[in-house]
Amino acid sequence: MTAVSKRLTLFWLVLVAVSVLSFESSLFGTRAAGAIVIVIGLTKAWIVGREFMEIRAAPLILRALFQAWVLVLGTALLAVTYLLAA
Amino acid sequence: MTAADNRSEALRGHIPGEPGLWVLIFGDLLVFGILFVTYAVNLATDVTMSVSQAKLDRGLGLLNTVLLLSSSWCIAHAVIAARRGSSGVRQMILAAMALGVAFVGVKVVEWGGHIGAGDTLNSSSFFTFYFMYTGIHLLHVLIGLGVLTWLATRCDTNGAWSGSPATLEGSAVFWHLVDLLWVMIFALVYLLRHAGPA
Amino acid sequence: MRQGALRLGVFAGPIWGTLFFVALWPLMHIFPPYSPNLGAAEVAAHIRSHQTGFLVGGILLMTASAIVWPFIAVILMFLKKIERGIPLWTTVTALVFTYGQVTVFLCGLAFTMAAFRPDASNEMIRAWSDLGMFLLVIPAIPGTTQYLATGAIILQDDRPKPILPRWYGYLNIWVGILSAPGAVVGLFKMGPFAWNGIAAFWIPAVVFGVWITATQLILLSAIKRNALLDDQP
Repeated sequence: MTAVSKRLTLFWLVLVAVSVLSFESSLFGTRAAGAIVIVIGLTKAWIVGREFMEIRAAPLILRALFQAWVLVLGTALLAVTYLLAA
Repeated sequence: MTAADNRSEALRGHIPGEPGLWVLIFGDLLVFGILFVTYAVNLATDVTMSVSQAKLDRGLGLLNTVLLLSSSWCIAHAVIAARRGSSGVRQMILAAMALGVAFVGVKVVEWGGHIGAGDTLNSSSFFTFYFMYTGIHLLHVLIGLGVLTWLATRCDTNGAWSGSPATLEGSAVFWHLVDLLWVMIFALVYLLRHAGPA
Repeated sequence: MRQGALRLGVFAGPIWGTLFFVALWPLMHIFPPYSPNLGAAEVAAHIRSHQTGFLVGGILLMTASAIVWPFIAVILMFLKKIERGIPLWTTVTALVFTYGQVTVFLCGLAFTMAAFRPDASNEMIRAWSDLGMFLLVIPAIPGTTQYLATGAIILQDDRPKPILPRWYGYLNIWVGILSAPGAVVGLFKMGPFAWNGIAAFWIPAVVFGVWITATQLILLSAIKRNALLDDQP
């Protein structure tokens, strides 16, 4: 029988919970909902990368590249969503 | 911390899979980053996008998110089982595959519904994005399922991992990438709305 | 080992790339590509005003497809070396390479046809030019097979010191996946998946540039290591 990792299971639960949360929040249709959806999406991607792909224990270069991807994409998506929408 | 967690401290400084694999992972992340921003620009500047977007079944998107997250959990546990020399590796790989196949099934039903309702690849700019992005992602899912199938054949008769650790780990990283990209597609294509005073 | 001859073979790659680029950019002025939405009169006017450019560019494209073979042959020798015994996927790669260069040849011929009779009707000229644009972008379809096959061969290499670096195998898979969107250009006249769009043109074009550069570098380094004479079991 496979040993179950409490850590991964906990993060899995968090991921499922925030998926449901972001699903509900977008129903409000407020301007803040966009930011909530983007931030929750990227947080989920960040958790998948760090915990499941094991980037958190990887050498600095991988961690830095991944972090940069999340931050640059987040900034770009938020900027586009709020600055371009007239 | 359970016994399954103890090994993770020993992984410090370890490159998951092999170094070359990360050319593919970061290359894909980079290009999908560009695709995501392209989509967001169109969503923000083209109000017709939200009209078509409202036709998506967000519940099916959420279901697929949970399926892939769970599939990721399974393949991560296959890696843990292999590190412990346990016999549960094949079981976990097969579970991950079953969830991946379910994802494809949901996708087919979803696409079928939209096509049946007359919304196809080039019927509106939103549906172009929708079909192309989920299509490119589906190509990743199918390649991933192929890799998982091959992994399952590399377990011994007891279901323990008999190949090199890097092969299993690297394949798992690719499968997690498929999950990661879907999580972003779900957020942007299904949930993100036009932010202007519509 | 004839390292000199192999090196010379590799340089057919950049020569191919240079001919290709000279044809598209300074001669035909179709890099970046014009919009598929452009009217027949505008397309025809563009081609009439660069008639000589199109005719000479057509010759360069057809020449490029004919002189690239030493480069491709060097790639195939390394793939065959990796695959040992029965080189199934090397043969697949070789066949798809051939088919891909036929589209380059026909692309040059289609643009030649577009420019050959400037007194032809606008629609006729645009139809030939459309064919040229398709032949330029749509080789992404066979290309995907070729890159995935090449990647699979390199990643199968179980020698302790691989003949070609493993990252290059993964790079091929990346290029293969990202070339695939080029397949749909026939469906769109605007947006990211049209033949001048970001997903169907710019991403495949940049990714192809990365591929051809990386390919030259890894081939030259493998030739330097004399990897074709490698005798690892």
